[in-house]
Amino acid sequence: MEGAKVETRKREFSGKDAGSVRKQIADAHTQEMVHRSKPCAGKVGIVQALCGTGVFLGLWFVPAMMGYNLIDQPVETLRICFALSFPVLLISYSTLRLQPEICPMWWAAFRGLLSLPVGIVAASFVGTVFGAPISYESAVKTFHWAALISALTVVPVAVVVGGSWSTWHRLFARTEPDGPLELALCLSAHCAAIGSWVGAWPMPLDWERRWQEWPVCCTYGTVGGYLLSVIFSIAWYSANRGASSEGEKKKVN
Amino acid sequence: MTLSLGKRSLCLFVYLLVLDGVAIFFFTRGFLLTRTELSVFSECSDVSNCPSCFDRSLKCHTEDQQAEDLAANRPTSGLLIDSHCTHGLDEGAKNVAAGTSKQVNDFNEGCWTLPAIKKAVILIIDALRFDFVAHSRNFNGEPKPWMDKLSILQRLVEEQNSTARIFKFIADPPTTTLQRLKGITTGGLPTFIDIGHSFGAPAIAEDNLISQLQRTGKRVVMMGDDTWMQLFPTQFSMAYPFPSYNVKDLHTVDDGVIRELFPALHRNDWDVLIGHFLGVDHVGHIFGVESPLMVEKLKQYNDVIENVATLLKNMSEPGGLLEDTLLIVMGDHGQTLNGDHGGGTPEEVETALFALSTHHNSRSSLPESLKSCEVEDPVIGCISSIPQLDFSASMSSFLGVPFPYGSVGQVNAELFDLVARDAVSSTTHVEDDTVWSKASLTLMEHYKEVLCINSWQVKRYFEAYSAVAISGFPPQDLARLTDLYSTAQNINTTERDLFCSWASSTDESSRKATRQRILDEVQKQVEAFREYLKAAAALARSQWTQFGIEWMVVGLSFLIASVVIRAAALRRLSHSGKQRWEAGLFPTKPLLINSIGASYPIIMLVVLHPLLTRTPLQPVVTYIRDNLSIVVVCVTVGASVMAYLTSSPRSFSEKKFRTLANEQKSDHRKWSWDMEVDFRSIAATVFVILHGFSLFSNSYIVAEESVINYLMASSSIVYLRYSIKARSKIVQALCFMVLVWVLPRVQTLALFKGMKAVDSSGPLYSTLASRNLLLQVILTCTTVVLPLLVVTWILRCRLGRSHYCAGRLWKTVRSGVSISYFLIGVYWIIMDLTNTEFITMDDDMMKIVRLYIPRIIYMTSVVVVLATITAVIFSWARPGVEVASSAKLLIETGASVAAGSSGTILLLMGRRGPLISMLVILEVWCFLELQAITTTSGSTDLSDAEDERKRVDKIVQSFGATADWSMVALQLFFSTGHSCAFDGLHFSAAFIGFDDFGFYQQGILLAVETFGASHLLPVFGLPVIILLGQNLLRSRGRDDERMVITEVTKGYLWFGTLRAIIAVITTASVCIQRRHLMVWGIFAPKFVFDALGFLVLDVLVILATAIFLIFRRPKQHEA
Repeated sequence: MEGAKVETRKREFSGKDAGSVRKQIADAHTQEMVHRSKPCAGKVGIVQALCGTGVFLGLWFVPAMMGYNLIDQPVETLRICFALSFPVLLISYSTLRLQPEICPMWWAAFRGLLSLPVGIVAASFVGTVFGAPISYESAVKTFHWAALISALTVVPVAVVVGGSWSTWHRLFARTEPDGPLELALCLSAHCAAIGSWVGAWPMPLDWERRWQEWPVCCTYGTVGGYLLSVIFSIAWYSANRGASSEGEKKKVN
Repeated sequence: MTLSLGKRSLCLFVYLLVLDGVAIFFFTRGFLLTRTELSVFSECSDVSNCPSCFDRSLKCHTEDQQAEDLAANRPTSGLLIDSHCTHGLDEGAKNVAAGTSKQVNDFNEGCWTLPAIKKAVILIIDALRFDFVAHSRNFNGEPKPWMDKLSILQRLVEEQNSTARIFKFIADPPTTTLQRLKGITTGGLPTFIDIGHSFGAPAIAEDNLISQLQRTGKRVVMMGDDTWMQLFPTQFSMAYPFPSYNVKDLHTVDDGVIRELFPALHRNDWDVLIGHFLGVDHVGHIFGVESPLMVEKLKQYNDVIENVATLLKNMSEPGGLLEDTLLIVMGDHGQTLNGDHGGGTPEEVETALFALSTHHNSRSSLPESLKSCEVEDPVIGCISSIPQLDFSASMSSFLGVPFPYGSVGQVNAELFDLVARDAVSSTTHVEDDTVWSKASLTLMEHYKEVLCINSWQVKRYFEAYSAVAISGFPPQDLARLTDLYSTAQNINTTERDLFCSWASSTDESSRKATRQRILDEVQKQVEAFREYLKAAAALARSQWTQFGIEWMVVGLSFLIASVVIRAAALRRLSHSGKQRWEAGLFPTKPLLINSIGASYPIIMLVVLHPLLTRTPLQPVVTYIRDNLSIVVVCVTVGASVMAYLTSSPRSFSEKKFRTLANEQKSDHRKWSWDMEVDFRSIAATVFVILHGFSLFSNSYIVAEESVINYLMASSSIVYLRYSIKARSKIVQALCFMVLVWVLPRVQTLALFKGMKAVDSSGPLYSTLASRNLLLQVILTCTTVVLPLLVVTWILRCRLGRSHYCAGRLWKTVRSGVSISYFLIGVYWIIMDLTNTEFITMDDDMMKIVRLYIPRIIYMTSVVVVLATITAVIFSWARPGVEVASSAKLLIETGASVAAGSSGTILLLMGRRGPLISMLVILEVWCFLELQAITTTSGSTDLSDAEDERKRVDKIVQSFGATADWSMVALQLFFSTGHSCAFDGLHFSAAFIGFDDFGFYQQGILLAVETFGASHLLPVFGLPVIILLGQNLLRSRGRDDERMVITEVTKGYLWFGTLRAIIAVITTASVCIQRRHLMVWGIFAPKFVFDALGFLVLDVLVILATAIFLIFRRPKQHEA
């Protein structure tokens, strides 16, 4: 999953040689557009900022207040971070759900809750394939890390999009997000995953630091990537507030 | 010059092999061979040139009777005055010397120093870990089973009035026996290149302890490891060598040593006795340190040492046979828990030295300041450490022979204290402080004198070395050393006056005070000498990894040139849809003309050398003449590289180029690099770059296996993304992911570790195999037989049924492969069942099974491969072969060679072979399936034919697949239990099917085992991947054959480029990190493995190209 999201730039390259595919996509795209009311960029930005703050506080401030830190008590800290950021993500993103007239808010939150175990299993599997140790103690750590990363990647999409396979496919396999909301979802998920991937790089170095252990540096990478994406997308929205809506119109036409 | 495309690419690959070979040779020359060996030997008489180390000693003793009293003590304590240096002594001192000459004569006359001991028994235990010797209380955690098994050593040290000590003995990497023996005896630092000679060690050309003993008439008896005989073919007065190469043989050497040792101890025909036990090393290699056999072996040694020590005690009374004998038990290097050694980790470097002196003085008279503390033992106090460098100098001084000429070690203070401590005070048994202080003074005086000679000898060597060697020591460092030396020499100007005043005074208290002052003075000088020697050793250590930078630069630039040439060839090939462009792939004429043309002037220069004397050119010419062959090679290769790179299509034919350019105007992009790349290529590039950069750090080299697995996992994610995007083959992608995870973990299963121990018959089976017979049988069936059946089924049915492999050739191959797989299964079943005593076989039967089944398998592989080649030569040349089937034939040939050689490789991989090969086949199948997605998903709107045509012209087309394939090959290398370190070589695999050591057969088997799975199979499998992956079989255009050849050549070029990049990076990192602490432990082995692997790859590519591309009839002739 992580690597699947490695390339956000994918669309730059797939665009050239896949004219017909693009056309099909555009068709499907306009169909979807018809019955979708889009939340505005400002609201997305606020939700993102809220989530980013939640994650940031959850990883650094709250554990520090309680006398924990990620390096010495990774499991506890991850648990606190998850417990703090998950409800924030769940509730704030459910205000952004698609088709709010059909889908009540509790249902959006509920499907987010449902997606969590699936995300945890998938993320644990991927983490293990990438070389996470498989002893019992490490498995507990892997589980907590997987909970955090799936809360940051899978859950928001599940809350907002729900079970629409075509949208998932479009977001994660083709990386062709549409509109500010999807861009935000896609960007933050990819950034968190890539951050985690990059976070593993210092692990083999022989510096013998505690933070090099699994899953400390990967967690830093995940959260770092996520926060970067939040900052980037907020900055981007505020910069092109006017331009983006015009562009949207052009695209539809 | 009209060569066909296939022949041209073959020429190109041969040319690249030559280029790579030259590059690696040059780099290796600069990197690995750095120390000039001086073949000068120290002579007894040399010491007459020595500065006044002795003669000024105590000129005033005759003035006082008291002085004589003291002086009388001095010679008896061991060593004092060299006979060649006594001429400065006055009459009185001579009298003193005469008075003690009776005692001195007992020790034979010393040469540089007076001997402290008459005889030495040196027992070497190969791969002796430090924790075998030191008490378990010194280590954290639970005592391990192998600790405290050499309890006699601890007992001897702990007992009252002990004259024994344990030291930590620090080896210099590379920690292989041959290197260490060289280091121990010469007192020098090892040159890395010697590791290459490990299979056929040359005799030591340098001065060394053994030669010095022989030259001074001491008789040296050796028993044990026959490596000694290779190093010292003529030096021993008597030798009992036993073969050391068969690592499975745990007992021959040890039993032989024990058999010869005790009779020899009772004889009087030796002065130094060396016993070298190999059992611990072999047990470590085969079973690991944790095996119960290790405990058994250590207990055996414990008994031997106990007997020797008792014998020593009983026979060391004055006049006894072993009077004044020193017993040393030491290791040459340590080992890791897996029994590996060769690197520079603490486990491998730290070994132990135990010394037992037969002097009866248990009290150390060494000042505290000279003691060091490595490990603080609660019972025996400090355990200090001795570098192995110091051993040779120390032993020379104890035995009274000249120090080896090239020794840079110093006589160790604590060992000196133990061996040479004053025998007089022990006999008087006076614990009086005065006596002790006197003894201390005496000892320090001696030590000072010995260090004086020692420093002089080291200084002499440094000067001689700087004069002779091409790259000597930096002048400023030498000057600093000289300063240190002269400071040390001049320090004791007051000592003699003090001594005289002490000798003339009668007042006890003032005498005591004076004595203390003398002691302080002496100590100051000793410390100055030690400082000098330490600085000298440090300088030597830093400089003897002195690299020939110029050679390294030339080698590295040739390697880079090889990468560039590959890239250029790829670029030219991507235009080779037009025939006239092929010439650019291997422009024969410019290459020949340029390279010969460039070397011509140089040869002329040398021929005309006499004419050029006294011209400014003369030094250049002289240099060239001295290194003619190298300069010519260098210039030729350099010129050919230039010629290759500058020969653009324009230079072949300007006109043709123009017309071609006009023709192609419509499709202008073909003239530039076709940068239409896909996501996979970008991902692959990122992975290659990451892998490349990781090789600059030693941590990543150590963790390279994890790095590769991580990158493989990343690329499996990329494939998963593709398959989800294409909404097909998601199962294969997931399978690929799981296999990427499983494959490297198979070999780490505890299952195979246990099994690893069973495959040798021995007392171990009782502990391991008897755990459960049923379990054992089930294990054998599931891990060996089942995977073999699956693999056979895949080969026979799946592959056979598919239309790629349906020819007669494949049928032959299939039956051959089936036979060898069947035999592998039989072999392992019989091995397991006999080891569990489920069935018993007599020795003859066992021998047939053990020796002949593997040999039959080897033979089958050879026959199958040869048959394939013959079939290719004959059947392809036959007219009437369908043209469109050339890709099919290629695939069939590749599969045949790979399948044929797989029997041997599988067997050599050991018991885990079948399981791993099954997983690999699955992985490759998934990989192949996934290739289809990634290539078809890109462009769907082009028509098939146009698509094919377009694809062939793309330079990056086969890059993604090849890069991933190269990564798979790397993963295969690591997941078959290899690593880029010398301890990662599977020596035991070389003995499957053979009991005796033969250089060539074992060398070949080891090479096949090391490079078979990771180089041979991938190289022969690459065309299959490329052709199947690109669905080229579908196309039936007129350019079919050309297209196939182009694609395959491109694939090999990409594969070679990737590996060349890795080789360049490894080489560059070794070059940059040459002063790194871990350079010999980690970087150099990595370089050797990568360089060797790269050359092996080049050779295999040539073979494969030859088989695939050459032995076919040109299409035109058929028509």
